[in-house]
Amino acid sequence: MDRWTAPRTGRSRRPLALLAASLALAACGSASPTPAGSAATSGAAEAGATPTTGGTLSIAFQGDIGSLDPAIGYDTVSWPAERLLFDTLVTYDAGTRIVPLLARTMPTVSADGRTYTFDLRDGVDFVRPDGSVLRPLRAADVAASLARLLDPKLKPAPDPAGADFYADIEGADAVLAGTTSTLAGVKVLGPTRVEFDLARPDATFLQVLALPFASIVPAEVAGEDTTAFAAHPVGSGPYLLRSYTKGQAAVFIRNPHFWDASRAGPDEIDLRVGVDGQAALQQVEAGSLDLMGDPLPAAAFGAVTADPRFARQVVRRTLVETQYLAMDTQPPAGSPLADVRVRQAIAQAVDKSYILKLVHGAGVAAGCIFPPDLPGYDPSCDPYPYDPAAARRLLAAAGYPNGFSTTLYTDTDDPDPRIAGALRDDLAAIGVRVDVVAQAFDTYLATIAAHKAPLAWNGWVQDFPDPSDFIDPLFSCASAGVGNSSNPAFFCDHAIDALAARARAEPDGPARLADYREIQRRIMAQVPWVPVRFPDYYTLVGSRVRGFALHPVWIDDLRSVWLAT
Amino acid sequence: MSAAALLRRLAWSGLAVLAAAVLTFGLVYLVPADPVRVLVGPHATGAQLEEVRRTLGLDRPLPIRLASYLGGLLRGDLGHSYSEGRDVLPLIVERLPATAQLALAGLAVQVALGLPLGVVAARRPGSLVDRVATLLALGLVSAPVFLVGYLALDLLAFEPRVRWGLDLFPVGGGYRPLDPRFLALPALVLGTAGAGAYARLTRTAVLDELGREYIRTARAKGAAERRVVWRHALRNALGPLVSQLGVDAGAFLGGVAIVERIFGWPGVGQLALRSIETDDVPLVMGTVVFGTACVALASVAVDLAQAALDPRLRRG
Repeated sequence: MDRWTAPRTGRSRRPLALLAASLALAACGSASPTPAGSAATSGAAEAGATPTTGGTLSIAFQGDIGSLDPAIGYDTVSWPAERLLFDTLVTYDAGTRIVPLLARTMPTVSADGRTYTFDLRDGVDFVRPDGSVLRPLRAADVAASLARLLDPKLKPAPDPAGADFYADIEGADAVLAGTTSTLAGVKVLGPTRVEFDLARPDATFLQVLALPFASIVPAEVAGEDTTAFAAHPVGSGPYLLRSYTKGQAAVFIRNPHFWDASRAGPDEIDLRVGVDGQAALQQVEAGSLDLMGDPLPAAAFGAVTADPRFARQVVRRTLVETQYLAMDTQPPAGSPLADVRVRQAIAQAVDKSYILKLVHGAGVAAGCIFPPDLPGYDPSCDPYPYDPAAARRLLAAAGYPNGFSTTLYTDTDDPDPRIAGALRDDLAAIGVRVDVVAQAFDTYLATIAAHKAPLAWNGWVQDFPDPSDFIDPLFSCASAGVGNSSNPAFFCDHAIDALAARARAEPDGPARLADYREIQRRIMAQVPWVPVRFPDYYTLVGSRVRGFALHPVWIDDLRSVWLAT
Repeated sequence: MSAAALLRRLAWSGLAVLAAAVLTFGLVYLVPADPVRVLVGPHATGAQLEEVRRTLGLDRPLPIRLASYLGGLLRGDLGHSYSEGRDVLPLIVERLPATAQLALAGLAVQVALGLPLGVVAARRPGSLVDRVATLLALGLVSAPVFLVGYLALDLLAFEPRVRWGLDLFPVGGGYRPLDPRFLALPALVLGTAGAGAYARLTRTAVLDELGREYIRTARAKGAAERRVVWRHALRNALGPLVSQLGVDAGAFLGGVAIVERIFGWPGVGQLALRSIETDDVPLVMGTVVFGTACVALASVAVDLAQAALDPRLRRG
């Protein structure tokens, strides 16, 4: 998803976009090197300790919960909250590996990759907010929950993106069109056995089943009114909603009937909203708040990451995100950008190490498209290292010994205009004169969609950790049309489209990832992008918080946290 | 004020609100932004964009949309928020109690600080006291609220707690209904921001009165200076001061966005900020129209109060 498709606060429809936009801010404090002491997990010294139960964990966000109904809530505040209340069939481990959750084991997949069969856990109950048991989970709930997600009668209207992820299930079109409410592709084979039939093989299917959209809910309670269900959510997750005051706080208490009785964690989770990032930071420092939901605020970044008192409380993670300079590969006739040598010259003119300094080292220089936590990441892929002399030779060979003039578009959120300025200076050094135009985010998107940006400073955050989520939206002919903003290079190569279609359908495994590495290599050979940075996310956690890690998908993973007593 | 005059004032206020609505509508749609694109995200196809646009009524011509918005406004319907999926009016109304507490407390601070400062300065124009008071007032006028807000949070809540274990105010702000510990700092910041301008206004108004003949008469009769200033001059200078207070009350009720954002105060101002950040056009419109209505109604209330204070104004 676009990393900027959302405001920094308030309800976002693109979860990770929201955090990435705030991350951009997080990286503009006073100068400070990347702290070497920051850990990937809180309470590193106590890593071997046994999790304990009890206490009240507090977390504060600037934005509010969009919705607690998993069919429509889709932002960085709603997802952590939804994951307290609901379970999915499968989920992610501490990294990006899919593991069973409501499913007893990983599903059996048919040889053609189109049929997935799940056996559900026994002893899972749906529990009402007051702590009483509604009834046990049944296989039919899986079918009903997926059908509900696609139901056009949901009020208020569901997010189009939510339904889109599940369009490959057989019969999804009919439910989406409103002609039936039964999803033909989800078959109940027994009280605890359910089968999914896909219209086409799709190796990413388990990834979309791990998204909170695919939470299993009791359909007879959930109904069509998502506002009502969000106010009284009934799920099978480890917590129950005790209270929620819009604009203030949601309080979650332990579900006494949770199926994993051995699970440890806080008795209560106090999720506060509308809290300014600086205020949240002060509260963590003063010990009155355990977790800040948003990244470290800009102004405090240098001071906090350099403060030895917080060395064990600063948590960092490189996001599954790539920030890049897009170059129009289908420019108007006569544009120098049409020549791949010109694009390569631009790629070799960019000094990524300087741009990292601009953001206080919060990130890793990007050599190719796939970021480090994405399966398919290739650390050796860096075809165009910084070499301004080589860049000048390439420009001359392409017939532009004196350079040319062009325009670079960026949005207005810091540090993006500053990074665009650095790119302009780098290109000026090889004779390419760049006019930087910074636009409000939605105007910027409209410029890209109208195919009017020769160069664009952009970024992409995963929807889910699969290489197809970087290739299909960003480099396919389908996304290269006017009106679409996700492929700013307007990259379209039918041979690569064919490779990508094959790789998408392949069974998950090393062969598939090798194919994606090859696709990445072939795309990079045509230089549609200058990959610049895989950004880091920083946060400060309270001193009594244990087991907290920034998760590559969830960011704030409240299901794994506990409090030291 | 007669009933007819009051009705006339209210009608004019209504027109002012309508004019503000038309202006805001024009501005919102002049900006080359596309709320739909932000709403549906990058995966959406052109057809989906059109579908959402149609559902929201954004495919209709601008004048028709304006007419339908104004029509709704006359019926008290502020429209439906895209991002919240609810009607705009209840969204604003449920945040009003928090904003009202803050507005009233902020006004109290503004008067408590600004009024004495202005009177003290007016008593001896040009003196050292006047110059110090004026400097202080100018400082308050020009200090940016976001700076004063963060300073207050840091120096009055955070540092005492971390350095000396003193729990003066809640660290990082926050909201608890009718709890003075939570209310104090945001009210202080809001009030001091207004106090500077209020002190300047008070100084001018009181100075104006002090030059009048009845003051000379009072002094000639041997009235104590304290009595001359506080009873005679100030009482007669109250007109513009009450007017200003009324307008400020309206503006505060319409939402004090920055103070609310810094202190995590769940009021109308935060709602307005979020509506802008999410391109939620009906909510932007709603909060602006609501703010305008607050100011307009406050100025009617001020007229009524003036009439009560000054018998000469009581007739129509």
